[in-house]
Amino acid sequence: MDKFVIRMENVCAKQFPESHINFQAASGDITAIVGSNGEGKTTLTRILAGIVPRVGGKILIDGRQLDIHSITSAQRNGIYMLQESLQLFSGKSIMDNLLLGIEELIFHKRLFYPAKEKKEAVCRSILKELGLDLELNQPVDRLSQGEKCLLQIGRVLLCRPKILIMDEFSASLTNHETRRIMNLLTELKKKNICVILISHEYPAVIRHCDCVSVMEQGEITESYSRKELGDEAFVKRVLSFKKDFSYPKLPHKPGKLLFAADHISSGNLHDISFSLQEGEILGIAGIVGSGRTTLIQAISKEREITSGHMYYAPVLERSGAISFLPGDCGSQTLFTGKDLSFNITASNVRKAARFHMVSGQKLDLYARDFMDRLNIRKVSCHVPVEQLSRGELQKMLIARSLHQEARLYIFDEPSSYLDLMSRSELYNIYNALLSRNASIILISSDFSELIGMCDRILLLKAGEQVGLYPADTITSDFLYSIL
Amino acid sequence: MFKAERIQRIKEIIFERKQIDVATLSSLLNVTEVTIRNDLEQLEKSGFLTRNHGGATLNASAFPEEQLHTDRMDGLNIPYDKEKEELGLVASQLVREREWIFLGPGTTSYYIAKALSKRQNLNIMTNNFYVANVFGSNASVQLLFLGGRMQNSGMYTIPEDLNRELEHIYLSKFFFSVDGASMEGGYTLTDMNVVDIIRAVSDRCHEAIICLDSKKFEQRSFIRLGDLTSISTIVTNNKIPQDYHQYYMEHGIRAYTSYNLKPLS
Repeated sequence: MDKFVIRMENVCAKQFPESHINFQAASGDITAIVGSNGEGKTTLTRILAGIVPRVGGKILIDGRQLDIHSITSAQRNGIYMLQESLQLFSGKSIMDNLLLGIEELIFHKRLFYPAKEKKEAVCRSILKELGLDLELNQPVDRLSQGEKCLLQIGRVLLCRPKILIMDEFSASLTNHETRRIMNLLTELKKKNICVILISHEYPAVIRHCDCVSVMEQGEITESYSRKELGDEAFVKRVLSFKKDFSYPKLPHKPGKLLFAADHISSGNLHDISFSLQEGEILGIAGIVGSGRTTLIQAISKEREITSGHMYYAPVLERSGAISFLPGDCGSQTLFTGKDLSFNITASNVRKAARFHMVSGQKLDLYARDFMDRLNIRKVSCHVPVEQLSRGELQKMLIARSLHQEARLYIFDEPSSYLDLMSRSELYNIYNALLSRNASIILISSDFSELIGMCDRILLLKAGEQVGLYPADTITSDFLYSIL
Repeated sequence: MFKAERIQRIKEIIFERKQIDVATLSSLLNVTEVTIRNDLEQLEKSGFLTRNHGGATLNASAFPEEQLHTDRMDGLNIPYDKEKEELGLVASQLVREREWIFLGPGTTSYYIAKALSKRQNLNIMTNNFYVANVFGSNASVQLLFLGGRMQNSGMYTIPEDLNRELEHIYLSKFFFSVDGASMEGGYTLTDMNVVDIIRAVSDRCHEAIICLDSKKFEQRSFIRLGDLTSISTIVTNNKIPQDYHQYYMEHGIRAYTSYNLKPLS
């Protein structure tokens, strides 16, 4: 493919009638668009991909004007866009997800449907290119978020795109998965594909880009080339665009001492001391491998400590008083195949029992009551848990902990898969839990979340405790520099 | 369980959930449905609830606030509103000791005041009679009441010259409510005087906080106060319509929502 430059000249969007977008990106480059929420980044790319109509202006490739007025016309010109949420055909196999709807494009117009061998060959070659080792007939639902994202890119790559636009692809991915995708995108540069990214994540994404454009009030105000990306001024500028999420933190009066760790060591953990009061939310900051999982296992008595000792308040001695909620809602915490009602009340079936007989009606009653309180609205209590979204699963697990009347909730990366609204709901549920005198330990790699919601933050690095600070005295830049 | 105790429990449950069916009650209290029906009949006679097919509903209108709680509420008839009560509880947690707050007109402010009534060392400014009434007996609360022309319908005063009254005053937080909020119309109110009061006080405070129960969304009233984005903190219920919640989040507005997590016993 030849080198080319795509340009948008004086393009207007309906949302920003006053401003004119002038934007350009070259083939073989990764171009990032950054800016705060609601400044028009997504609108810009949607115009380019034909999803949103443009008002005035021109879109040109190497000076030749393109007629983009719909998604199909954009795709005919080789422009493909992956939107924020993953769009896969759930229940269909990997092969179907790669090929459905684009057979004609790959195998050209034929009288007969393409042979199975041919289809499989095409799919295998693309999976190899993506670095995925998967069975073609496997349904897509079991894949991890990163694999799903790669699969979507694969589907687009089969269409031989000239321009690939990705909107916030890293929002629901772990750092490792993001790196994998960035590596793939770097590979695509050799194929002379023009990659356009929207992202907020400086460390993971933006610093790997060749060119960064800043968007404000519906206009591209500045552009930086690769050379300028290391500049301190630029880094400051990009960090200032961090998602300005407003954390609904309520001040709470901490109560009695609930738990204390006194110089404990276990496994790779070494000499950790902290305390936790009722109504307090303690953050644990640390990268993967810093010993946070070991610490949690020690607190929940799943692992012996080798030295030091731990104090548990009498209320924690009861079984079920400590509740651990993993963020990815992995299969180890769910009763798959069972309905919501069963999953919520499983933590304390005895509550619905009388003379050793459990009343199903009563179980449903408790379940429905929690669903109503926690806003699990759209589904009935007899829906199998597999059909729930991430946010709903989180709430389901909280409901289960509430049912066993837990006093200490341990959340591990709870918000990494949640959208803005579900996060806000979750944080407000934390507030409600705290005001009921429960305590929370929150583990997260999102430092702004820790600072926004926690009372105090414990810093872990390679099994050592490197600090314990009140959350309102530190900044995320400080955390980045230490961990 | 004795009958008196059982009736007390039924009262609590219905008060908490507003309506309930006989089957649920019978399974919660471990007595037969016939017993529950008898109890409900007795409660209906006393005017606490209305029985309907298969269940019972709390008589909200027959139960103004002052009968359920024995606060001093001389002649003030505020219908009980569970959503506002929960919301008031959350809003009250935002108030720190010794800071000056303003509670605006409306019954929502009454519920915030009620949630604050057990607290100490508060500094409150208001033009709302409901609020003044709540703090009447609390000596550790410093209350400044703005005088002026009385607006009987809303039980608040309209000060003669509010800007002059507030001239040398600086407030920390201002809690107020509006009559409607919609995507197109923004925040709207019925009463012109209230709009003026809200605007004047907003200029004098560090943080304006709007308190809206979920019934007020998708409603439009007479005068427009401003866009949904014009106030950066909102306190509401968990029943807030999802698209509004999403909208607030996308625009960086801090949303506190109340959750009542007390498990069913």
